[in-house]
Amino acid sequence: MDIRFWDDRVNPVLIKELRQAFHNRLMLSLSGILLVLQFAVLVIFNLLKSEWINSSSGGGSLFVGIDAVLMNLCILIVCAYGPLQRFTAERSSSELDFAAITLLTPFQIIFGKLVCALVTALLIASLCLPFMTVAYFFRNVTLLEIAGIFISEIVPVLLTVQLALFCGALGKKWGQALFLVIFLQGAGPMFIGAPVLFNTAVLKGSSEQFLFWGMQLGGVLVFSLLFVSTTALITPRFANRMFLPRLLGMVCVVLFCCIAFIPGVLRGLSGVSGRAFREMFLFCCPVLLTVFLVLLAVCDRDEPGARVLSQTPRHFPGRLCHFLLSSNRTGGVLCLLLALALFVVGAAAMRAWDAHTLWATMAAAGVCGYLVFYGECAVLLSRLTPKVSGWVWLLIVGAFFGVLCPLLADGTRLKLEDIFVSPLQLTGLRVGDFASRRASILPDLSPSLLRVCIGPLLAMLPGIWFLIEGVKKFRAWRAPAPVPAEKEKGGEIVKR
Amino acid sequence: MEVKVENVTRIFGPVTAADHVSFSFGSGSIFGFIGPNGAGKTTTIRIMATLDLPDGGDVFYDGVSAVLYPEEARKVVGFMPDSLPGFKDIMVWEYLDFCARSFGLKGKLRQKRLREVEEFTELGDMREKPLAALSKGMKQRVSLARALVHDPAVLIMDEPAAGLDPRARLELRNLLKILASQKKAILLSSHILSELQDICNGAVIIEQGKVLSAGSLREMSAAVEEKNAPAEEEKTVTIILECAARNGELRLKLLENPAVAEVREDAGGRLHFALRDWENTLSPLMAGLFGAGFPITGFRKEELSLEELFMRITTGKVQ
Repeated sequence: MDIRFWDDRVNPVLIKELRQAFHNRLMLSLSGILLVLQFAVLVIFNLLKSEWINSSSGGGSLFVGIDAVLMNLCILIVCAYGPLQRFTAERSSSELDFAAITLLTPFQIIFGKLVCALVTALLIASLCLPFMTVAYFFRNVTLLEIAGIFISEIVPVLLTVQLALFCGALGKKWGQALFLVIFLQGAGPMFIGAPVLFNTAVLKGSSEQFLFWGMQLGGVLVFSLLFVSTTALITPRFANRMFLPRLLGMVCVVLFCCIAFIPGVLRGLSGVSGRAFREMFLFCCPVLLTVFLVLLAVCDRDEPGARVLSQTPRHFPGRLCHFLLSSNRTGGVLCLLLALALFVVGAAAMRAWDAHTLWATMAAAGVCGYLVFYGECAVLLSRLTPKVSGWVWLLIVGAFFGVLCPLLADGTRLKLEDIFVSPLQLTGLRVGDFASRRASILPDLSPSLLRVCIGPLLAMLPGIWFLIEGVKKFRAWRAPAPVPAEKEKGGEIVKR
Repeated sequence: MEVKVENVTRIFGPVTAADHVSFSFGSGSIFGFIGPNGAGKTTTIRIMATLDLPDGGDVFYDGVSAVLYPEEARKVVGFMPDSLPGFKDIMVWEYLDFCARSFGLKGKLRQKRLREVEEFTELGDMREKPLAALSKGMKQRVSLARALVHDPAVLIMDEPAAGLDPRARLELRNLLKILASQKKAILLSSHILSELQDICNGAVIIEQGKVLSAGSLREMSAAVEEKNAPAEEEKTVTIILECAARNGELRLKLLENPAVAEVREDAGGRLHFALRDWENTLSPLMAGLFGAGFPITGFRKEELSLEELFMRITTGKVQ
């Protein structure tokens, strides 16, 4: 191999993005401004140094704090705003059309952009590192705390950059996308909160350290889901765009449910001091995954198309997995039902191990049932009215069943365990809240087996229809028969 | 390389953008793809470039289906969309290098191809300039270089001459002629029919998603004339005659012939005359003219221009 062409193995998008980033005036000027500002802060602190040396508290932590804010601002603008702007410009000028007819895959495109943003983030961090180490000499800050700032911000940076790429893939106007970035991510709390939490919880070994790790875990999960969603967004509609996101979603569901069958992990979770982490993990993970899978199902297309079918494996297990995970709404809804079943089984298993502390899981299974039900209704309605997108129907259905129906509840009452509720209230996520007349934003997490079963039962009503339809569709789910060779060329049969 | 579009159909809600579109063309030919706005040209072209999937039908490149094997098709197709390269903060050479890498070209082969396309499109002097600083004509060249970087056997171009000044158009036309001489199959959609007239060997005329006529210009012209032809005995054609001198005398001589209906002279000094029953009367007439010593340098039957063909074939309806 010729050493001159070592970069042949590097992702072409990464090379192009890096070249663009280093030609970009915004990045170059901001890096310069960052250096100047840091130097100015250093000079000011140096002038004030004698006062701190004599006092009990040094100015190190303040200096590090100011430096971290400057660094994060720079990273936000250069690594999130820059790629976002470039990506939306590419979308509006049909550059992605060109990429679609090359040998580049959507995965390579997004991965290249992501890595480029991370490389530039690393560059900015390296511009700040020397100044931060100087802060050590201002006292009141340890080298470990300084390192903690960099470590704790890996996930927020990943998440922010990926969110920017996701918004870039969504909207054609960068202003709109930028708004989404700022609005959705809550960058400030995340960037400031992560190092603070790392410092107070992890380094000082407080009981809240699981909250930090939970945030990191959640961040990585959201990042992964955003990554595959962005990839799907730039994949042509006729390709198998849902395969990767649905595969990841189902893998996460299975991994989550596996926890239920590992008593050691469960006991570890039960023993965790800090209820917030446990509930966040056991409640948020399944709900987040279900929301993701519901969105995939409603935004999917009904029929897979020739391109998708042509990739069908010949053996039964492969064909079944391909049917469930590939682009088609029936497969999407069946995936949802499968995920719901796994959550319910997982929740039951967890309850068997730990009857008192794992009600969050049961409540999650109940909420997931409602979400699946709304998703199924949205799919059915969007089939009737193809002009209205599935996600619009999802919003309408959610508002109708989740808000309007419970509000319209009449005098008819059903007795569920110890509480009387109206049947109309059963279609809303907050059935327990309405029933007990408690004012709360969160769904009712109080232990009531019957109440958490209503969601899954509702989901089974249209679910049976989708199961029957799925069996019919799966029978027809085969690769198109190979077309006979059209002509022969030099003895070699040319495939069609 | 043989390109065959077979019954391609694409439906967008109530609109059938392409309705059983079929035509074929081969290496060394420049094929015009003509139709009014909204006729289904871009839809068909996008399907040919594997950017869209037809609801029915298929496109075959030497027998390989573009629907089932898009990766194979992409290796032989170069696509030049109607939009120009839009990347910011990137030099021309960097952009072309990215395009070459995107098609999997590696090492010395990539360098060689980049040199070749830069030379062919005369972008050598521009290679260090940012894309954003280029004129429209130059961007069009970059777009052409991008489509050619992997040396495709088929080149599909969507409105390549749109918005170009006359010089840039002429240069593009020359480049296309060279490409056709290199045995590339070229499909060219354009509204500027006079441009196509000079370079196309054949054309497809499409309207409301349906192919109205396809084939070589001569075939299409013959088909239209036959369709509109009067009774056999009244069949009249226009002959164009070029004479080095004595045009006035020649005109009078022509009018003496009872088979000649009318004679007119164009701005280039050529005489156009309508001749009745031309298959039987042309030879004796020309023999007579040569015999009379007129310095005739050429004569030919007048054919319908592409513009005239287009106007006669299409109805002007839009979807």
